[in-house]
Amino acid sequence: MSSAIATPEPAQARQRVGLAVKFALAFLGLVSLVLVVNGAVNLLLSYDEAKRAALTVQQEKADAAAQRINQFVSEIESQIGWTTRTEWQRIGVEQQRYDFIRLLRQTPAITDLQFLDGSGKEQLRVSRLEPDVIGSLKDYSADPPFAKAMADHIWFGPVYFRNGSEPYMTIAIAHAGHDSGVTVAEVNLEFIGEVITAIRVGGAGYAFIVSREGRLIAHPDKSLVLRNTDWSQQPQVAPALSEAKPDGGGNTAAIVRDYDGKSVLSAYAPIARLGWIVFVALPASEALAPVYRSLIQTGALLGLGLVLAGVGGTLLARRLVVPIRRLQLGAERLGEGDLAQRIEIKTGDEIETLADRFNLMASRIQESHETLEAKVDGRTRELARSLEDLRNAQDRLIQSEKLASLGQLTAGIAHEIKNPLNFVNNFAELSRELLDELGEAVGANGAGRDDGASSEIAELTAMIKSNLDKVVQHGRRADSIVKNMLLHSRQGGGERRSVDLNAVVEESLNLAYHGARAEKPDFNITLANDLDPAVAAVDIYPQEITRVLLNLISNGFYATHRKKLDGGGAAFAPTLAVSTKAFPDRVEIRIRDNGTGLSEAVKEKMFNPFFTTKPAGEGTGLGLSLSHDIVVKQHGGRIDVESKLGEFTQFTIALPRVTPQPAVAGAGS
Amino acid sequence: MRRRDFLLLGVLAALINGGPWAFAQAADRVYRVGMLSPSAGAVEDHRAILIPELARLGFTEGQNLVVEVRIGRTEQLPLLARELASARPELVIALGAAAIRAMKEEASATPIVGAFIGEDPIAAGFAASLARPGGTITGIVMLAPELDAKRLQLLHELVPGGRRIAALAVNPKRDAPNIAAASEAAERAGVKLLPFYAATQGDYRAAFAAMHSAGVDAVEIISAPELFADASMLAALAIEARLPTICEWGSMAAQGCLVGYGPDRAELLRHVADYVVRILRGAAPGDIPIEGPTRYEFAVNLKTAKALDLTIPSPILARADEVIQ
Repeated sequence: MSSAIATPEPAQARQRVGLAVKFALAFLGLVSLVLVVNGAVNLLLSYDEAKRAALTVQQEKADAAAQRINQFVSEIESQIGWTTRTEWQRIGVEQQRYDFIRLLRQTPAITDLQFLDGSGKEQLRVSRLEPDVIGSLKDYSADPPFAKAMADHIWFGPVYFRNGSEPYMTIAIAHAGHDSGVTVAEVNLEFIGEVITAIRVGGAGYAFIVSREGRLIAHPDKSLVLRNTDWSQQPQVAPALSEAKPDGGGNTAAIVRDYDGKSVLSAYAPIARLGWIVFVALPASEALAPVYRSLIQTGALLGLGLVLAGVGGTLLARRLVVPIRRLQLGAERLGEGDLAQRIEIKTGDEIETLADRFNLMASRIQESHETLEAKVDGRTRELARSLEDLRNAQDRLIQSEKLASLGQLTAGIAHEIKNPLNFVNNFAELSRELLDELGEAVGANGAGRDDGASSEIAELTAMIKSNLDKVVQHGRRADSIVKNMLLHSRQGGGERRSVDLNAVVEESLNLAYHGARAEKPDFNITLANDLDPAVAAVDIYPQEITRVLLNLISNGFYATHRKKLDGGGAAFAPTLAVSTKAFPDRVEIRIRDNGTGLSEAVKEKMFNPFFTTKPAGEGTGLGLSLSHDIVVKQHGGRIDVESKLGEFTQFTIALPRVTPQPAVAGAGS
Repeated sequence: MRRRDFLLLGVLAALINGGPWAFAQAADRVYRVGMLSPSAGAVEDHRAILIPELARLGFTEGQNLVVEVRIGRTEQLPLLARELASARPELVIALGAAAIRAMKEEASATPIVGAFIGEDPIAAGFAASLARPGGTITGIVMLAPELDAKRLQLLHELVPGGRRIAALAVNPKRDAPNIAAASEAAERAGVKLLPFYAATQGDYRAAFAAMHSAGVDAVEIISAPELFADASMLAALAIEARLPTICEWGSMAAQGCLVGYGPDRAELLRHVADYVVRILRGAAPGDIPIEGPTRYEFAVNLKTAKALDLTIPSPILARADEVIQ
């Protein structure tokens, strides 16, 4: 049990991350992985798509812008166009001038108009700034506007810069019919700047035009144009110049740095017939705004997903972990010794099974624990009894040792005393006899003698006689003591044989009764005997057992007698009951009197040698001690006493049917 | 974590506050713009368009813009230029070549926006080129002599039978290029150009009297700020003298000139505002190309024509963007 408590402690110290956290993290991790992968793929796709879309849109804007410019030029072209119809040559020069003036008014971008006849001679010139010229007949036939327009019907001249600043272009259109002349118009391209400025490219985007040489033709910032800017090396423009497609097919959009160094999404579309390239540029940040939006959306979705996963994971983990915690708590309490602990989990899964198993285990432990305790109790009781037996045996052994040495001493002393005592007794007897003889002698001799003297002699002799009687009496008593002492010390006397115990008991009872009657003629007692015939023959030392019985019976007589003398009352009927009873392994002899009974103090000491309650001279104090030794040591039986003071005393002698070899051999004298 | 958030918020707040605060500081700055002109009327006309346009672009007079105006006759201009320079303006709008020249002489470091540069700025030494003026002078160039020549042709078209055409100018020396160009055109058209000068308003009547006595058939009002400012007075005098007039600006027709032909003045003035703003925002005048006009206005006043019992030829009417009935 202590090990069960000790083991989880290092585990607890190690266990820093709870199962719930781990589970939640695992769940979160899994969901995050899915979300992140999904988000990344989405992002990649949407980024690609959005970028492609932005590029496409940008290209479309470039194409649209190119178309706008082209349209603008086409409008100028068509405006000039109505001066080039067949009938126009037939009208007079004044009318032609009038038409030119109207053309100038309608088309602000045209600053000068010139009509060259079929041979390239200038017939008419109308200008916004310069005085009009009619019929100068200057020869322009070798000049490109005339030559190229005659060849190709229409000619767009290269962009040139008036005063080194303002962009201009010449448009020459051949008139309908054979060699019917050419109208040459100078177009101020600053007006295209207005168109370009008007082209809206997103919020902050812009459009511009460069010539095929990279010269800036139109730009929302007019200053750049007027500065005659060459952008042929500009990173935004340079690639377009090298690979400008004549038909403008394909997507040219790309993210580049513009003239300001800003990152822009730029696309271009060439206007082939003019040799121009129209660019549209949109700040990359604006162009890619949808991409960033989708990025933010994906990010937000990811964040939301993570939060939901976190919440879900935590909830799920809690649901899973709560029963586990209860399981853990239950195990802890079981570990602390609460064997009645049961865990109530109804989750319907493995944890419930585990809890059930746990409960089963707990009940098993409880059961075996209870059995164990019962066994321990039984064993402890047995052990205590054995210990007590051992202690008793030890006590008796010590007692026996004491008694053995005492017996030897006593035997020695008795032997030594017996001889002088014999002398005392014999000589006292002899002296009494001699006194009798003396008395006779005095009577015979002293018949005539003074009566006084003889009476005095007689008196003295009587006194001596009485003294001698006392010496004899006490001498006998001393002799009896010595004899008893010798008996005491000389155990194992007689031989062992199988005798009828009932007979022995009966004989002892008679013997004792008559002995007592002989000693005290007024002694009277009711005797009762209840002898079990099943007792039959028992293997014992008959002499010894007889001594024990005599001892006990005479003690009983004494007790009843004492009670009577002490005023037991007229109603008191001294009774002594003797009974035997057979058991399979032993026989019991019970001797019960209704005498004075024994006090507890007496009961404790009564088997000690020389302990007696009788007045001095009446008991030796060896009777019970001897009896105990005979029954217990010689026969391996038991002698028990029950008594109640003033009521009764009952001795029970138990003798085994087969007497074991006496533990201590009797000390012989 | 919370504290960090607060910190972040604080930084953001500082940034957010910083933006408008920085802007406010820029807005708090007061810009000084000078105007130097030989004509009060021209200044009025300029201001009428310039000031609202500047306000639209973020420079409002009385708030963050102070406009110092100095007006004086051609010979007074250097003195006034000095006065203006002492006020340390960010730039000076100079009306006409004389004002530009005076300003350039008196304050060579002060950016000058020519509104308008009446002669070739390269020849006059104002700029290295139109594309990159290089110096302190930029603005709008109006090749006035060229246009004066064109106007003379148009005027001749109005009075095809006329032999003598008067040209009214202000300063014989200053306006010499214009007179020369007009004379050349007159010569080409086969008519004689007679120049007349009126230094002040008081001289107008005498000038018209002189024209009358000279027997001219029409009068061209030469490009000059003063004459532009006094258009209605001149137109009235011309009608009184029964002389068809052609004037420098389309708007002058509305004031009584028979024909007004010139660049779109309002557009040019709005463009002048662009120049001013660019320089106020730190652009070097030498980097801003000098521009010429792109749009022209042609206005015919039929009331004047009626008063003069004149029939406007169709080529002239065909040119007219505006016909004042």
